[in-house]
Amino acid sequence: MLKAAGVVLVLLGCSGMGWYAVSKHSARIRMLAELEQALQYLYGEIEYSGCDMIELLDKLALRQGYFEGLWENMGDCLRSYDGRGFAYHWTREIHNVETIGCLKQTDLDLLCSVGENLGNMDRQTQLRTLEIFQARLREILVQARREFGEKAKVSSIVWITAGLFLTLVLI
Amino acid sequence: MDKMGSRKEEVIHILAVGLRKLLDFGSMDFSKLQEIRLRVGAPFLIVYDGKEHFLDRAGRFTKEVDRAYTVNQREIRETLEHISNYSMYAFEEELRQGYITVQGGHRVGVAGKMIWERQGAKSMKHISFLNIRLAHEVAGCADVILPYLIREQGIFHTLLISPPRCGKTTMLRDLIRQLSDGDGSRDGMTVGVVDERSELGACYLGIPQNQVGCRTDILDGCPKVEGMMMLVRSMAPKIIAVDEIGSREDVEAMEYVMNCGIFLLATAHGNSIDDIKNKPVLGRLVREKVFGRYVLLQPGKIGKIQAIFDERGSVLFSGGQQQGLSGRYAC
Repeated sequence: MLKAAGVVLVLLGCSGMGWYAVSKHSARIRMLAELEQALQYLYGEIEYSGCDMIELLDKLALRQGYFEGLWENMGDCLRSYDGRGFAYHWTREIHNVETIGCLKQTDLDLLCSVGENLGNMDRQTQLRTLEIFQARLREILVQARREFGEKAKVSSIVWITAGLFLTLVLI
Repeated sequence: MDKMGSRKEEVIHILAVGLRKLLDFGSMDFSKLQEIRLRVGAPFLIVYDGKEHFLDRAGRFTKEVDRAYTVNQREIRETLEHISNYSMYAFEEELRQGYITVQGGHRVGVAGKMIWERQGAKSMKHISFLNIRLAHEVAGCADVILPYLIREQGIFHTLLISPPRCGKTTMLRDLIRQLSDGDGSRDGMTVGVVDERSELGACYLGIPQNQVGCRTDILDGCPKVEGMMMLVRSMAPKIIAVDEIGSREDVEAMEYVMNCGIFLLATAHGNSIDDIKNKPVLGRLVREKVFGRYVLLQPGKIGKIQAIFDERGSVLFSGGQQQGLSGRYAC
């Protein structure tokens, strides 16, 4: 009886790990998609309204999502005029995003580059730069979506297999 | 926060963190701070109480360039970020003009590599030189001249003349304020201001940062010619004020304004009325006695009135500094 309970627990634990890995992939895709939307929004607003960055961040902060806190904190940081540059605050604040661990290093590098290139150039260059970031982000997103099914399947199988193997070893 | 505290905050806020430390070190009287000049690889320089000073690493005044704090590219970039609210793209038009007005009405002149296209200046990049000119209001500086400009129906068309940096814009601003507000003996008048270079009202987000009076409407950043026409058509002003007139188009617009029964307050560069008279376009207005009053500021002395003339050139007021100007001036 005790063995059976142990087997169930191990299997459940390993399945949970598999589920966690899959949800992490899924969260990464949602985060990248949210970021893509944010860049699109910034592009549109800079092109048509020319609002300043603080106002844009405030507007972005009204949208709920993974980066809600980032936009809000960035707005607050910029309003404080503490003498630091935009990129400094940006790099610091993106590491405070709760789910930042779901992103890969390449995603993080791209995110940091966005911050280094926001607000410090003329409109035309700013729009071109945002276009480049959007294109790169789209590529990453397409690849992540394409890989998702496969990765989900592999993660589930690996963790369940690991669970079965552990069960066998333990028995 | 008192006015001086807020002035300090306004100045400190726009500087990079490394630079603000220098100004924050000592017990600097920010009311005497006139200019901050930042150049990449050059000493941190301020104009304080009318004199130039370098600042060393401890924020102390020094005359020795070697001891002065050297400004670097990063500090210029960070300062620009603050000046533009981290949004350089939103200040393209201002950059084309070569300056940005910040909160408090302070003006930041910028210089770097200009990008030109057929229509003219397109943008500016590699900005390496900043000149932060702090706004100064001298309320009451026009007290002496105001009585000479007033007449029963309103005011005389008036031209303030001086070389650059003698205070004519400050004088004009105070005239606008006093004429707009009025006082116990005189009703206020609606004043329309065409503030092409944002010097008079120093509007920030559309709100004048300088005191320009309660009956004043400002067209900020608007070319003088178009602005004068727009004000006549839309705001029904009794007085229109413009700074630094000189071109043929300016003069034509001014004549249009005067023919509409609106009084004109304007400034022009010059050392004397002769200078104005010798200008091809503006000189005609002097010869035709269009202006009822000329206020001449003393070159080299900020805000010092040299003389006030009427349309015939008679001296109505003399500052008593230059003997040659007493007596009649033949226009």
